[in-house]
Amino acid sequence: MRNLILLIKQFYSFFIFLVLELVCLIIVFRNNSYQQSSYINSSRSIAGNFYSQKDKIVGFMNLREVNDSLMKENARLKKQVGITIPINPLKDTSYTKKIVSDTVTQTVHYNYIPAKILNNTIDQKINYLTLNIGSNQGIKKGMAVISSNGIVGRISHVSEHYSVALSFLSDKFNVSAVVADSTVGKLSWDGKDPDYGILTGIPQSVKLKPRDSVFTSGFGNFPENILIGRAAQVMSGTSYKIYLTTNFRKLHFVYVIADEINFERKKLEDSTQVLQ
Amino acid sequence: MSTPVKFIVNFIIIMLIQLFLLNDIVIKSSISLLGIPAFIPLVYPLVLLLLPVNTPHWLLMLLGFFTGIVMDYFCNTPGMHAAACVLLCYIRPYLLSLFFQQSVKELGGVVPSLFRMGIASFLFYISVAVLVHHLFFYSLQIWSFKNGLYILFKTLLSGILTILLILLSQLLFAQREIKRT
Repeated sequence: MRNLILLIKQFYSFFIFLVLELVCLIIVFRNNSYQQSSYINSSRSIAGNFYSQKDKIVGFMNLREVNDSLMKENARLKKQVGITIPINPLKDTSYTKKIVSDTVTQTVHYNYIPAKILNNTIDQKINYLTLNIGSNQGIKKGMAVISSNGIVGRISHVSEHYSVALSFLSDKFNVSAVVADSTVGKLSWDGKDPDYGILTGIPQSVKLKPRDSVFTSGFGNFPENILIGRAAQVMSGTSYKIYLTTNFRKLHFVYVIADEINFERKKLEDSTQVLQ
Repeated sequence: MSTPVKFIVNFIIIMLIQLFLLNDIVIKSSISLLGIPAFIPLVYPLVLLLLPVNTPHWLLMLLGFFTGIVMDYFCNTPGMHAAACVLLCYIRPYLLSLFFQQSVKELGGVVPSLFRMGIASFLFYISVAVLVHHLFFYSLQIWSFKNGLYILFKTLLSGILTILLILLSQLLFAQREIKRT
């Protein structure tokens, strides 16, 4: 016993090192998969407050970029809708359309909730965005996040006033994508270049040309027909490098998509999985 | 200033610079090498590197743990910064006894700085410390042997920038008085 105490006394710093390092590694590996909610994330109110204060101080520096992107988006939307805009976009941001394909009528109802990005990273293996709205505006876990140019990510943590979204630039973040002739593939990120994604699972018979558009398929969280990117180069027979239309370096405003019908579908699908 | 106050002031200033200035430049800068964002400095270990030489080893490691957890909290990286900081704090006394000419016990509460240690020793001290920290951090983050070269590349890229920034901060802010007896 005395020897043990002596040993601990002699190497006490090494033992403290081992204990602390063990604590850290336990935190790392328990929260390694991004689906698990970790206690260390910036949706907590202290970090959220810090980031929103910072945004108040330096936010004006981005105004030129923000204005440019809003103008571009406005122009694009005006072109799409024509000049007669049926709803006042300032009062009503919800949007309903009926898709009639063959004889099936399906109603899709999306509610676009605008949000401001308070913090963003692009250089890590799993990247997160901190948004300035939370459960007080109806944000729920799992909602899709898009920008005016393309997809951004998915909400992963929600607190009352802030929320954290998992960026598309994350390991194991898969998006179901569709190319022009409705072949469905899987788009993911290789963990290095924030401008490109990798599209896999396209059969050999389908050949994509450079600058062919890739859209979301609507099978996952994202609504269908959102432009993701354009084919940049062939990597092998079945996988392609895709240039992302979302510029993650210049992201200031995003839309969170509240899709009630998708939630209903998810619930139904989950309940069937339990029964099996 | 007493040592705890100095640590807290250093901590707040360096953390603000890291989180609100450098992390923003990481996103905004379009400099990239081989498609990887190239401007990725992590200067916050400087908080721990500038503690006095005679800080007790256990306190040093606890401070390292605390610094890392704060960084993790803001960067959404569970435990990775903390693990790297604890390792850095564990090796710090051994590094100091390597690179200081006098023995550590004689020095007392001296802060390791560029003008106190001399450029060569100081450069070696921060280089080894920063590279160990970065290597451990990026290994934990990327966590695959397949990407071993990528880990090394990122460590070097980030490490060199960090070392340059630390040298710059020392030239600007370190105390120049050298007491010769």
